[in-house]
Amino acid sequence: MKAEHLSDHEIQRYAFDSLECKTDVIEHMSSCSLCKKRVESYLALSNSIQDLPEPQLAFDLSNRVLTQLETTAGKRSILNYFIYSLIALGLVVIISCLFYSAGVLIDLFKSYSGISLTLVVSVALLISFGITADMLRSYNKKINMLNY
Amino acid sequence: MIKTQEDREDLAQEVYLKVFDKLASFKFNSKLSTWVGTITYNTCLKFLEKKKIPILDVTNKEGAESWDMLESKALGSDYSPIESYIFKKESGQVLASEIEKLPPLYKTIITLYHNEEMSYREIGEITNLPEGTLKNYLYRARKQLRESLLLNYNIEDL
Ligand SMILES: [Zn+2]
Repeated sequence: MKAEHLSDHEIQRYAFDSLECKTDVIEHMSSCSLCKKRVESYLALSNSIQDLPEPQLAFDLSNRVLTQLETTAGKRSILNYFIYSLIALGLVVIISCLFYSAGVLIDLFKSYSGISLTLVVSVALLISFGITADMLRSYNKKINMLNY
Repeated sequence: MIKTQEDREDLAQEVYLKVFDKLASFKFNSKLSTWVGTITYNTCLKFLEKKKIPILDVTNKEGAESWDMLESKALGSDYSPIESYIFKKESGQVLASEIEKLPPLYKTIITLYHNEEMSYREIGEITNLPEGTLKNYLYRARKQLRESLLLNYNIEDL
C-alpha cells in the first residue's frame, strides 16, 4: 500500500479513467477511507453537473437567421430557375436527337446478330445496376452520418 | 465560453451561417454534431482572441497548501460537506455560476464532458487538443471547480 495519500490527479484518474490506474493506486483505494471520500466527492460533482440543464440559447436564433437568409433568397431563386431551364433544354435536345436518329438506331440493331445484341444490352444493364447500387449505398451512408 | 448575451447572439448567428456555407464541404468522416462543434469552437476562439480574453488562466492564484488545508478540513469532519452541499437542490444555481466563472476553455470541456457527455475523442476533435492534454485540462478544471465550491461552502457555513 502507498504510504501517502493519493494526489488529486490520481484521485480524479481513479474516478473518471479507472482503467488507467496503477495497481498501487488501486491498493491504496481499497484501504483508505479518506481517499475513497475524495473520489466520491468528485463523482458527486460530476453527477451534479450532469443534472444541470443543457445550455440553451436564450434567444430566437432561427428568427434572426431567417431574416438574414431572406435577403439572399431572392438571388438564389433566380439561379434555381436558370438551372431548371438548362435541364429542360438538355432534355429537349436529347429527345429530339433520339427522335431523328431512331431510324439509324433501328438499322444498327438489325445488323447485329441476336447473341451480340443480348450481350450488349445485358452489359449495359449490369453497369447501370452497379452504378445505381453504389449511389444508393453512399446515399444511405451519408444519411446515417447526418443522424447525429 | 462567451460571457455577454449580445455577443452570444452575434456569434451563434455567425456560426449558423458558416455551417450553412460550408455544409457542401462536410466530409462525412465525423458526426455532424462534432463538425458543427468544431466550427463553433473556432469561431468563439477567434472572437476571444480579438477581444484579447485568455482562454486559460495561467496564473495559479491558489497556493497548494491552502488547497490541501481546505480539502482536509472538508474531509476531516464525519460527514462529507461537499456532497451534502452539492446534493442540495438549490445549489444547482451555485454550481452553474461557479462553472460560469471558470476560464473559457475549462468551462467548455467541463460542459462537453459532464453535461453533454461527449467522449474524449469527440471533444479532442472539436477543440483540436490531443487526448493527453485534454485529460490534463479536465483534471485541472475539475479541481478548480471543486475548490471554488469548497470555498463557497466554507464562506457560507462559517
Ligand atoms: Zn489515502
